[in-house]
Parts: sequence; C-alpha cells; structure tokens
Amino acid sequence: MTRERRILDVDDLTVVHQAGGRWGNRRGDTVAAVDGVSLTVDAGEIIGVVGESGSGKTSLAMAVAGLGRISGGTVTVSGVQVSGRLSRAERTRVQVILQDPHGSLDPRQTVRRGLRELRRIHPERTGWTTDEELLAKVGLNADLLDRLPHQVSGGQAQRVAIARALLLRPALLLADEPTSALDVSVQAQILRLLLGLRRSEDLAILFISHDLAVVRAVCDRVHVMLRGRVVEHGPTAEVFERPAHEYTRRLLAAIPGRRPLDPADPAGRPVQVTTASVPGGEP
Amino acid sequence: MTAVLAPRRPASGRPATRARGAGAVLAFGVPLALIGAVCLAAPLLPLPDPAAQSLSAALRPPAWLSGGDAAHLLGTDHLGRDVLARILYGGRLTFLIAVAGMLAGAVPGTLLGLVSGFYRGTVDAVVSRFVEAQLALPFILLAIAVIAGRGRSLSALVLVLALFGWAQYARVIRAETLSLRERPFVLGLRCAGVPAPRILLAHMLPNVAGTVLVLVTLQIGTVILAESALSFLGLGVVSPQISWGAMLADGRDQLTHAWWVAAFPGLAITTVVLLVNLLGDAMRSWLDPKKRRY
Ligand SMILES: Nc1ncnc2c1ncn2[C@@H]1O[C@H](COP(=O)(O)OP(=O)(O)OP(=O)(O)O)[C@@H](O)[C@H]1O
Ligand SMILES: [Mg+2]
Repeated sequence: MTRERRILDVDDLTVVHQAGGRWGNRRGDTVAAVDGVSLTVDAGEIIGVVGESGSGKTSLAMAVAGLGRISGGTVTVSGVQVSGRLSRAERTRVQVILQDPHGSLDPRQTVRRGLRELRRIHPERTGWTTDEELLAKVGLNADLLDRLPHQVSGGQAQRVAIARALLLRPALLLADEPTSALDVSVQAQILRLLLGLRRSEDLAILFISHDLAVVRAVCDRVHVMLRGRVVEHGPTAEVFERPAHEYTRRLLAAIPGRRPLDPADPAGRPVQVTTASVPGGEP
Repeated sequence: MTAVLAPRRPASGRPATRARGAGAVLAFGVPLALIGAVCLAAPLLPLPDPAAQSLSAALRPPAWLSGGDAAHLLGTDHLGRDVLARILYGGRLTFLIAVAGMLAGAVPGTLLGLVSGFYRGTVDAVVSRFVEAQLALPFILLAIAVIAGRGRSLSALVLVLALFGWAQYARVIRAETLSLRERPFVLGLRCAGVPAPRILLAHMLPNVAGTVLVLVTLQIGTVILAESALSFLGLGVVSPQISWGAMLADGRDQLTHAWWVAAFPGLAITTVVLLVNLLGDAMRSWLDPKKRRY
C-alpha cells in the first residue's frame, strides 16, 4: 500500500466524556470511552470494529467524523488531521451512515429537496451525477425522490442515507451499526450494496457493529474493542478462527447458532436473491 | 421467495385516526372562524352605533325580557349603548390584541427556544434563567411595571402580553430542540457540512412548527383572558376603544340590577376561549399520530 492509499489513520486516540452535566457539581467524574485506540483504513478496505454496548464504538466514530470530542491522540483523514477547524470540504471527506434509518433523514424533507440542499452547499463536489443516477447506484427507483422519510421503508431509508453520503464523494464511509435496525433480508441487501460500492467507488469503509456474523461477512480486518481499548485485531478470518483474547472468544461463543458464513450470503441466512436483482451487488 | 424482495409498502399513517382528528379541528375551527368573521364584518351589519349614548334608553334588558326593545337585542348598558353592537365591535379589538400579543410572544419565544436548545452552552444558560425568572414573576406585577413606565396604550398592552407569553414558547421549543438535535439526521447534516444556522432554520424550525402551532392555539385563549383581566383592572384598553374585558369592567357596577351588561361579554370571552382551547387540543391529537413514528 502506498501512502496515498492510506485513507484513515487513527493514532493513540483518547476520548474522555464528562460524566456530570455542564452545571453538575461532580466536575471530576469522567469516562474514558476511547482509551488509546490506533487503527488504519486504506482505500478499498472495509475495516470492522466490534465490541459490546458501551465499549466506545460510537465515541470512536464521532471523533473520526469530526463530530465528537478528541481528548488525546490524532485522527488523520487523507493526510489532513481532524480537528475543530476543518474547512467545509475537508469535513465532507468522511460521511456517516447511522443505525436508525428513518431517524437519519429529516422527517419534513423529501428525498429530492434533501439532495438539492446538499448540491447547493457543495456545488463543486456534487456535479458528477444526477439524482436519478445516484438513486440507481444504491438500487432505488427515481419515484422515491418525492417521498418523505415516513413514506419509505427502513431499507429504502438506509439506501437514501447511503446515496446522500455518496453524493459528496467521501474518501471514507463511516457505518455505525448500519444494519442493526433492519430485518435480516434487508440487512443482507444493504451489506451487499456496501460491498459493491467499496469496489465500484473504491471506498474505504469503517464498519462498526456488535454483530459478529455481519462483521465476519464484510470486513477485511477487524478490531475488537473492550472498555475503550482494542484488545485484539487482525485479518477477519484469523481473528475469528484463532481468537487470541479471552473476550473475543466469549463474543464468538455468543453468536447464536453455527451458521456457515460466506460473503455471497453475508447474513448467513437462506435468503434467495440473485445478484442481478440487487443493484450494486456486483462489482 | 422473490416476494422477500418486493418493495415494502410505504409505511402509512393511520388514515382513520387522522381523518377523525381533522374533523375535530374543523368542528372547533369553523365556529371560531365564523365568530371572527362576524366581528370583522360588524360595520357592514345593520347594528346601532356602538358608541351612541342615549340616557333615556339606559340599562334596557335583552329583547326577550319584559321592558326589552327589539332594537337592542342584548339590551343596553348604563349609557344606553347597544350591548350586541359593542360585543361585535369589541371583538375586533379583542381578536386584534390577542393575535398581536400572541405573535409578539410566539416569534421571539420560538426563536430563543430554538437557539438555546440548539447551541446550548452560555446562550442556553442565560435564556433559561430568564425563562425561570419570567415564569416566577406575577403577571399583574409585570403589567403594572410596564404600564407605569409606558402609559396605557395598545402597544403597551401588546408588550405586556408578549412579555407574558414568550417564556412558554421558549421553554417548550427549547426542550423539543434539545431532543431534536440529538437525532441522527442532525449528525448527518453536520457531517455533510450544512452550516449550523441553516440546520437551525431549514431543519429544526420546520420540525418544531407543529408544536408552535399547537402552543399558539393553546396560548391565544390565555392571551384573551389576560387582556380581559388587564382591561377589567383598568390596565388595558382605554375608552372609547372597546374590548370584551373593558365591557366586563363597565358592567361590574350594574351586576346586581342589569346582569346582561357584564354577562354577554363574559359569555363571549368564555365561548371563544373554550373554542380556542378545544381547537388546540384537537390540533395536538391531529398532529400527534405522525410524530409518534419517531
Ligand atoms: N456524551 C456522553 N457523555 C458522557 N458519557 C458518554 C457520552 N457518550 C458516551 N458516553 C459513555 O462512553 C462510553 C462509550 O459509549 P459509546 O456510545 O461510544 O459506546 P458504543 O460502543 O457505541 O455502545 P453501543 O453499542 O451501545 O452503541 C459509555 O460508557 C457511555 O456511557
Ligand atoms: Mg453506539
């Protein structure tokens, strides 16, 4: 990998949250949500972060997206260090996909108006495609353009969120539990879409989840987080077959049922879909 | 198995509930609009001059009582002025003051609530302290202070009503903005480089608009009552201007022997405030089903 392919470099990142409120009197109480985490993502890679609830995954994601606190260490995206003073263009190099698909869209804004707003703010980045082409890229019909978020399904809403992210041509897509709120068949479609986009758009993806089956299906490398620290990391197959850390072994043991997992069927359940019927599903 | 892939039906609201909600809104909104229209059209109606005095016709009872006069359907006051005409003409000013006072409170209150909920920090701390101070301040004291400083005038009255009303809006809208700003779509917008003022005005404001609308309908009844109370206490509109509260005050001294002078404006206030409050409730349940989705 040449240095230009290095999209994300997180070095010894620490995120400390204030436990009390602004006017709280217990000012000393703090939570180290992220405690000395280092990881890298190169172009075209999907890197997983797994860990149980409260292990600091979202705090890490917010810091990387430039939306959260960075208490120590550095986050570098395409050679530019993330700090409070990023230009608008630099900020859009990382785009987020979040867990709640309906909540990710302004409930009062149609899909078309939302896209138009982004185009108006970033005319130089968004001219590369039309709304219709963009929706086709994420497997949506153009008749969705004039719908409000509550008029589309969860899976469709998540595709719209992905389309909004793609419109800005990000170097890194940050997916924080992107499929946790979706049912299994829809989950598989969204994962296949992300896998396809990684190839067609040469996207780097930081994929955060507590679902090991999903991580195993899509990630090239995986980091296991426990109480703010990465306790184990390595190529996905290696970590899953020979977990070195006790915590990883426990996580793996907790996967319900021993489902055979292969990338063509990321959710590991018998959903019969042809790749042709899932646009973006093939490179 | 391909059925798994069929596009799911767009989630719909509950049409039946929505329709019933709309029915209730109409049931209270239409009579209210009619009352407003009749008051507005008062100069076009065949009514006696509301200011014309006639001591010989003073304190006539309503037309259907003995001693009543068909020319004065709801009777006359102690100066012989027609009560019905005064109610309709007085309604114009009452509505005007209610709407102006409501807007003067709603606009700054909503904006302050949005700004303090969205930016939090120092702005929020300052606004919140003012809200608490305002909610702790007795209304009449506030009114006396303003009117002592500015004299009795319509603008002073609207100022009092604004000072009285803004804190409710600020408090409710701040709370709503606080929860709204934590929703994922706001993170998405910030991440997409949408400037904060634009998020505030183009995304937060439309999302709290429903709440503002409901607050407005609930508040406007309170504003009418507040205006009536002020006029009743002699802090409100000045004769020859007429408002329902002022009429109530005029009728106070005749209550034992000419109840109609105070009773009919009182009835008008009660009816309108009741309708407005019912309308507010209807609007709240009309707008709610959609909100509950999130
Ligand atoms: N804004 C905040 N203020 C105070 N503490 C916080 C804040 N955000 C997170 N925390 C704390 O930091 C720790 C890590 O939280 P975080 O949300 O990053 O975990 P997570 O791995 O994303 O969990 P989940 O899987 O439930 O989403 C938790 O102990 C949490 O209580
Ligand atoms: Mg999280």
